[in-house]
Amino acid sequence: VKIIAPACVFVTLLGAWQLGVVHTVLRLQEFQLPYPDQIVQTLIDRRDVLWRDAIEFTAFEAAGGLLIGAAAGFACAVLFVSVPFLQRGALPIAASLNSIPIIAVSPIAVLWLGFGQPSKMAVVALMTFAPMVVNAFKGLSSIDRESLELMDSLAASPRQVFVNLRVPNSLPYVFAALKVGTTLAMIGALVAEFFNAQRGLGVTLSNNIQVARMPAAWSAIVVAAMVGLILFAAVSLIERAVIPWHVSFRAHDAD
Amino acid sequence: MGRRPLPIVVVAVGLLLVWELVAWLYFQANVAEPFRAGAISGADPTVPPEMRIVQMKLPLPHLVLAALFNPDNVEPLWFAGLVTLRSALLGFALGGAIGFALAILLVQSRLLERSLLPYVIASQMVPVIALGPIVYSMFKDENVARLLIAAYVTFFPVTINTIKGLRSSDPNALALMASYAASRRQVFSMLRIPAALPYLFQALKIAATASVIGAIVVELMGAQQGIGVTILRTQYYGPANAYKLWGAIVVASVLGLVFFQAVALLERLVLRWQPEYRA
Repeated sequence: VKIIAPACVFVTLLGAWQLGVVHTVLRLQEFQLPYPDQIVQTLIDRRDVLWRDAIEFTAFEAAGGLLIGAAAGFACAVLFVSVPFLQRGALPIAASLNSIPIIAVSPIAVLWLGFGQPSKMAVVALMTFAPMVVNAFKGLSSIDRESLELMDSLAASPRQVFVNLRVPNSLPYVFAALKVGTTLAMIGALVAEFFNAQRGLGVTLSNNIQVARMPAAWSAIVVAAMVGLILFAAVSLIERAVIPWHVSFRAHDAD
Repeated sequence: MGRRPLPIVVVAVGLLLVWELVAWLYFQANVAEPFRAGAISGADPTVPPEMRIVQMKLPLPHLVLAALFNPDNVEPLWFAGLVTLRSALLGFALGGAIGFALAILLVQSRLLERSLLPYVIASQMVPVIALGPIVYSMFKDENVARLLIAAYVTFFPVTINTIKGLRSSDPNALALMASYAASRRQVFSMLRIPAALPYLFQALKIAATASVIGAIVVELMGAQQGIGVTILRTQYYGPANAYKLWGAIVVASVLGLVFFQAVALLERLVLRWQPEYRA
């Protein structure tokens, strides 16, 4: 049942697309939205180049940037929880970093770090930093009062409260941020490549859209979606391994 | 959190001073004495390119501030910002409503969730930038395209977080409701939805800024108005427009900040019972 249901939906949608239902309903032409068989053919023909671009450039930039951004975000959240002044003063500012449009920052990142992967990683790290700060802070600070009183009554040191109560409490929020982060990271890497790069899926996308080779552009989109799903699945697997005790997983078993 | 503005002002002013100092040192170290005035204005062609680019890489913040309040820049910066904000707001409302409804639908049945959730996630992997041309070709209207993309980037975090929240109800509370023979509808409205609200607001805060970014990305692909258009145009003109470019980045950030703070304020009003908002 786990695989059959999504597979049915997939086959139905793909069938409708291939048979032209989507084109008819949305009144699109072939040059606007290519058919699945054309995209699959391009995927097979160009698989070596596509996967090399995906792994060496886009996925590498996305994963590397996400790790840097998430680590920096968590570190800042810890700092904000420990220093009440920063919590009131710096948290809203850190959170507002999220709203700096990456496009505007990416040419400036290129000026600093060059056309290669590091400038894209910097853009991705900037994008994924803010959600992690907000979520990790929420997780570290929204502590059950009774748990805190219990720890106090047992004369727990601030360090013990932190390690045994705050950090475990933050993990579900941290993983939620990482999951949102995987999609942000892929979009960040692609968009940064779209405008200022020499290699990567974003470059493939941009070059093919410009010359209206839509099947080739869509093959890059498909590969990007697959890479994104792999990243998301990897984070979900780690989440299950690290916080099997969380209510959301227990509720799954009860259904 | 944000209740008293003083700490924010102190931190912001501190950051600005550090930036000013670092930018000044960087400028002094990289631009030779005779070229300094020309490098600041950016328009002097006798200044070597690597010195002209210095203000583009790390401008002096007081000059960016001056550009923000320059009367010539009111239209390309502030008016353009309002155009972007309007689209982002409408798209945010639409995407939030769709995302919340979808989450409620998906938690009704495991079968539905298993069938559709992978596509909710996969849909988000399709880069916004690739959808732009398709949305354009369908509607031929930059306002509709902006609104749709802003809605598109909003619905995903809302759906994911609301599902997580709806599944995070305290099992004891669920058992209690069951023991009182509460209907499915009552369990939803009295327990599961209130329990999901903190997660929902978390998503809305992320989406508030994402919808602004979504609207801006659309503008970069050929709109006529908006802060993204200003960013794109000022980039083409290079170092002469360094302050206008950074000013546009600041305006875009202000849009996100105001939007984020508005949602955070709403969160505080709605979630008075959360531990962190109790006195």
